Amino acid sequence: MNTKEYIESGILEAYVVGSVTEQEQQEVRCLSSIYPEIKQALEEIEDSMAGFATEYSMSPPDHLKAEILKQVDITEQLPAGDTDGKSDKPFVSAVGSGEDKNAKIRPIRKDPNNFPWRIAATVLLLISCGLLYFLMTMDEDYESELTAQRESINALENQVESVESELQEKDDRLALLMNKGTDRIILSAASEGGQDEAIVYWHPETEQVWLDPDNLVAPDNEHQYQLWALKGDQPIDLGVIDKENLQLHQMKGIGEADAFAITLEPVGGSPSPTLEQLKVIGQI
Amino acid sequence: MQKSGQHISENDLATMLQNGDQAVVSEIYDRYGGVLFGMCTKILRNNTGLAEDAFQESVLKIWKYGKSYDAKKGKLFTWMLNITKNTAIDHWRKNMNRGKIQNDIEDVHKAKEAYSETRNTDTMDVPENVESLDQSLREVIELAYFNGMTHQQISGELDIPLGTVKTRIRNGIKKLRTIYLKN
Repeated sequence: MNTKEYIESGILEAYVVGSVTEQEQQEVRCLSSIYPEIKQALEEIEDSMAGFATEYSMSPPDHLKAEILKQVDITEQLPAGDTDGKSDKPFVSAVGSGEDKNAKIRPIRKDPNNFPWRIAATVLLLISCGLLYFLMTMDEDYESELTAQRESINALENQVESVESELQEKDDRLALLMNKGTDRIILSAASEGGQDEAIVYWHPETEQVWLDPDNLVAPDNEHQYQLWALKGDQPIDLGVIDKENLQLHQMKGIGEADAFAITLEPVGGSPSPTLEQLKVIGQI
Repeated sequence: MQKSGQHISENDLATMLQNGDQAVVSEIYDRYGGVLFGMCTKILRNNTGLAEDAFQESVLKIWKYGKSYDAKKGKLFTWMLNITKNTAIDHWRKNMNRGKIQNDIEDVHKAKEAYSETRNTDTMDVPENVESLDQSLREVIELAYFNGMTHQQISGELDIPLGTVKTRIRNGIKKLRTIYLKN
């Protein structure tokens, strides 16, 4: 049970000032006996109300003290546990009328007819207390189950979203590759006997360039592959290849080229290709 | 167990009460009589005769049921306040039923004015900032606490929404907590 929420609901304040229903009274009593934090909050409110009551202090007439002490002298205390059962609760007691000036209160215990009712009431209170606790716990279980389900749904939604965007990306690539205007240029190893290979998919009309560097050897930490378009004698930078992602991906676009080539350059790329590090090249 | 003339803790008072030491009544009267009588007067709308009856009966009940006081369930002062409050509200209802007094909201306001004039702070440690509780909050708490009215009744009596009643009670007590629990 979320005791913080319960404490903050305002029911404890309502209980202490006495403006709750009988059912709510029982609920507060039960829960404060189960949860120490509710009991503590309840006591703090009671203390506050006690402070409030002191604001209305008035000296009683002088003659009353002597009268009261005289009556105390002739009034026997009742044994412990012999109360009306409500006198220590912040609610109006059924016992104790205005007529009963001499406090001749007949304890209910002396009425044999009341005895079974007291037992029944106690049993009922215990049962309702237990039931309330059970319901609160069950409620808490449902709440945590609900939260878990919501989290799971959120995770699935995110997954679906990411799969959808991946699918869309793949669709776009497929559309490009299948397009009749797309050229497929194989870049072969520049050195004799080299195994390196890459494929460029180029759509001159839309100036889109895609590179599949799948067959390039992964570079060390200080280098990156860089793609160049060669137009006449002029190399044009088409971007570096993220070494963590040696898969088909889009490069900078170009509309005209005679060849494509890849060199190995320091991380971040170079303004012009290092010819000694030419890895693959493919003529159009 | 006579301890007059020296400071007796609330725990000692409870022990005296449980041990049947009659001297405790005099101590309780001197220390808490003002608050308990003030509460009776407030609940019985300044009807002095009724307030005296209720106060007398309350103190006798505190003595009579003293052995049943259980410190685990709450403070002695709170227990005594509840006995007094319940007894006074019983007196109010019985007398109202007999037509001796009328449950007129005006009485509450009259009592409020009387309270301002007669409030006696000698008997208890009353902070100086008691008036810091707004009148709108005080009014609702008084009706619930002293007059035993339900939220619904207060809503009807003051002609304000039920939600406002609840909020005012809650905010009022929050304010009281800041006044009384920081000490």
